[in-house]
Amino acid sequence: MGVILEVKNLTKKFGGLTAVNDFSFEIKRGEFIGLIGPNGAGKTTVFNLISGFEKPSSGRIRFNGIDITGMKPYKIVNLGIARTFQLVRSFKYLSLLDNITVSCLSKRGKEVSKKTGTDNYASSILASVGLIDKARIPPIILPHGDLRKLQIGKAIGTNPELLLLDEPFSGLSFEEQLGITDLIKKLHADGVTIFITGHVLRELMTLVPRVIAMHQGKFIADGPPVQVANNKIVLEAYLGRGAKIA
Amino acid sequence: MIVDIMNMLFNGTLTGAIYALIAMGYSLVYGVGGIMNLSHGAYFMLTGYLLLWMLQTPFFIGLEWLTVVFALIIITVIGGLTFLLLIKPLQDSHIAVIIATFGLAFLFEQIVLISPSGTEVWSIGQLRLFQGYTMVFGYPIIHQYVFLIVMSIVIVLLFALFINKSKLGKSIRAVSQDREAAGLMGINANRILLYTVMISALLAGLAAFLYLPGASLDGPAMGWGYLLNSFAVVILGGMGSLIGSVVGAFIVGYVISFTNVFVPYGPSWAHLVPIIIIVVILLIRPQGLFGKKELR
Amino acid sequence: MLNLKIVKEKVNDFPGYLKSWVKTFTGSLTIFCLLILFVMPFLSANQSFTHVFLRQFSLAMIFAIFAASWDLLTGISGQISFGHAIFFGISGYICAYLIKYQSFPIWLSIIISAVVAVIFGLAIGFPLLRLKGPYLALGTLAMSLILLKLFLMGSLSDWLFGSEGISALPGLAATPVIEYFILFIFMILTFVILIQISKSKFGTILKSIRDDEVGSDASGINTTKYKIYAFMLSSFFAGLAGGFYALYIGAVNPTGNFGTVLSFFAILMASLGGLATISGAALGAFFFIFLEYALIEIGVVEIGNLAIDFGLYKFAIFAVILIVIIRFAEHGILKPLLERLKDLWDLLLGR
Repeated sequence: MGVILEVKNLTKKFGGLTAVNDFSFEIKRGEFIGLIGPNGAGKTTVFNLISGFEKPSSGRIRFNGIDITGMKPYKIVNLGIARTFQLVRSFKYLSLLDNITVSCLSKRGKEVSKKTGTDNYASSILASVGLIDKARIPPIILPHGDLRKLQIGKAIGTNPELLLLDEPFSGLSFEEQLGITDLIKKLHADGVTIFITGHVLRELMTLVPRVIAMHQGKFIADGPPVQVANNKIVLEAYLGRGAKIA
Repeated sequence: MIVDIMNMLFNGTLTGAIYALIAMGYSLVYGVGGIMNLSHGAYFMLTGYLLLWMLQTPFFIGLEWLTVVFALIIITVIGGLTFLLLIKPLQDSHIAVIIATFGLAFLFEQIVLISPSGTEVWSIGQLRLFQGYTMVFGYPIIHQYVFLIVMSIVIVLLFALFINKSKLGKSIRAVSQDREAAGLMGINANRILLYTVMISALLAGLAAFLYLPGASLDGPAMGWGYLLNSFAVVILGGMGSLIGSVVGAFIVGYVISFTNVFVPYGPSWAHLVPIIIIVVILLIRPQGLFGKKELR
Repeated sequence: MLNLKIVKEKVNDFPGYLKSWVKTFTGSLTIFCLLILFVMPFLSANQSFTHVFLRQFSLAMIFAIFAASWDLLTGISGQISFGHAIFFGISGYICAYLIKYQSFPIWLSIIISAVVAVIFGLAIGFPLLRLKGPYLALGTLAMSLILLKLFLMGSLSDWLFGSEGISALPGLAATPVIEYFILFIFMILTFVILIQISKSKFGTILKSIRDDEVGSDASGINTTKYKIYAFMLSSFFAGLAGGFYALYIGAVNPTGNFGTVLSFFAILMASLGGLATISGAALGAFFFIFLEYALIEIGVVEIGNLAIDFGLYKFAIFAVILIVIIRFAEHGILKPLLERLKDLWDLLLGR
């Protein structure tokens, strides 16, 4: 059980605004961790920095011991980190199956998919996220919940060791949330390390054994959900001064 | 030597003044709606020819000032129609808007080419408000162009006032910053975009009215040159930034006039300057001087 | 990217695949059209008419290749090119130069010129690759204008054959009929290759870059590498067409081979048929070449006091068609047309 992701003194400035401020933490292989913070806390920026879509102003990111700071996104994917996006994106003119096929054609994805054939592998992934009956349909007409499943399917196609899920529950109905939760739990059970953000606490807190809290780009707390939820600074960040959880 | 410097300074300022107006409109439409209207250069060209055609009609003899009024109204309306008929329905697809407006620019060029005045060089000097020139340090400073430069500065300042203080101007700024939020505040983004395109056409038309009477109408193909140069200005200044358009216009203007005067075989290279600027800026600093970086 | 085992499988499958394809409506329709094209030269006894008419077909086939190359880059890969004339023109000039001044054989000149077009594709692709959408469109337009001006004016142009270009080139073949068949074969080859590419996994990757480049990146695809491949493939076929065109016309000059009109034609023809269809480019090419021919033939028509010169109006008419197509049938007319034809066919057969 080693350290899979090590983030040290991560800082990102956009002009005058410091979105991420001297942020440090570690994730061990196989963990299931949440990243919480109110809107604008910098969670997505942290994900962007880890996955290579933004370059840090300073700080280091190590994945399995390899320094991936500032690496190009596709290279990071091929080392084993996959991510989903807060605003769902898809290849809108390709079928659902082809959406997943693309990931299976990445360097890392091909290592697995070539054993059974790309189409077969992509089909099995599509089936595992429960969308196989819509394989030939383009994403345009899908409901939001299905698009979120598709995104996770696309991430699975690259055979990740670490999966970054950016607000996977936002905009979903209760049933849809349950579906996604089952999917994520199953991935975790299969050995994927999961790092998940959210700003609504309820779903995350019951799902993950460990949570990191951030506010205004800074690290506030790290620990089991109950402990973090009762942390004074966390409460102030979410609810303003003088609030308590009853 | 002094003559050359005067030449460079004066013509650089002149070019800058013209392009400040044209590029401002182009940049505005992009900043507000994310749209590249490739028929923008054609607005400039078309205004010139509208003026020419009206001046050739007996009706307008003695009423030359009316041609300007009509031409500006017509070009503004054309801008509005471009939006309503082409841009708005195709908003979702960048490729479609680009191809459609490109096709429109091509169509305008063809229409002018087909018309009786299409193939020769014409003058609309009747619309000149100032005649003659003054010698300054041995270089002839043409009065009409001084008028242009002054008017251009006035229009830019008025426009800045409009954008910052007027209700419509503030709505335009709101839509350019966050279309959805503006919608939530009750601003009809499509209506604002319509006005924006119309204003941009008007600005291009004004530039044509100020400049072309002092120059000449060299043929409808000039529209492409103005489009490309405006693009260079806007790329340099930063897409969506109005300050950038003005600053960029003058920088481009001076570089062109410098090339014309001081570089061997200058005039041939001067044509290439804007294009080289485009390629260089896009390589080293795609957001230009004042623009925002492309958002992921 | 190229898995030999899969290629071998495909080649072995080919006869079966071909048989099942011919049985489909699209397949049999295509075969039918190709047969007509094949037989065309032998249909008329009047030699001189045939030759003129035949040459229109040859021209259409050249532009079909050109438009298809554009569709691969813009329609399939999403890299908007408004300066496709660059590859067309460079290749034409190189081909002309090699044949006239270096006495190279024709086939070698064409190959070399297409390769040079690819090198240009690389040279231009690299700097422009980081541009997206309208920026790329105008960047390619700017590049094509640079080349046009370089060849047309300025001190360099004398070194580059000036505004008269190179003339008095031998034709592609001894007779228009042979020229026709050479182009026929190359057109078929081009379309088979490009359509197979668009349907392949490689094509899927290109389309993913078109639909969502960030998403493609996030799926582990080296988008830069694939965009370069797209540029290279597209410029090769555009160069091929450019070389053929130079020989078809028998001369090259700046406006004729680098003109914006040519880039416009590529966009026009591919858009009519439908972006990303590849086959649509052939439909578009034939449509516009013959429309142009018809308009010129109709010439001046007098209606009352008005004399309408259709030949002069042709580009205006083309522009209007382009605008209307993009506005109302963004995905081109090939697919809807094929559907209507199929329905008609089914109706005739009583299904």
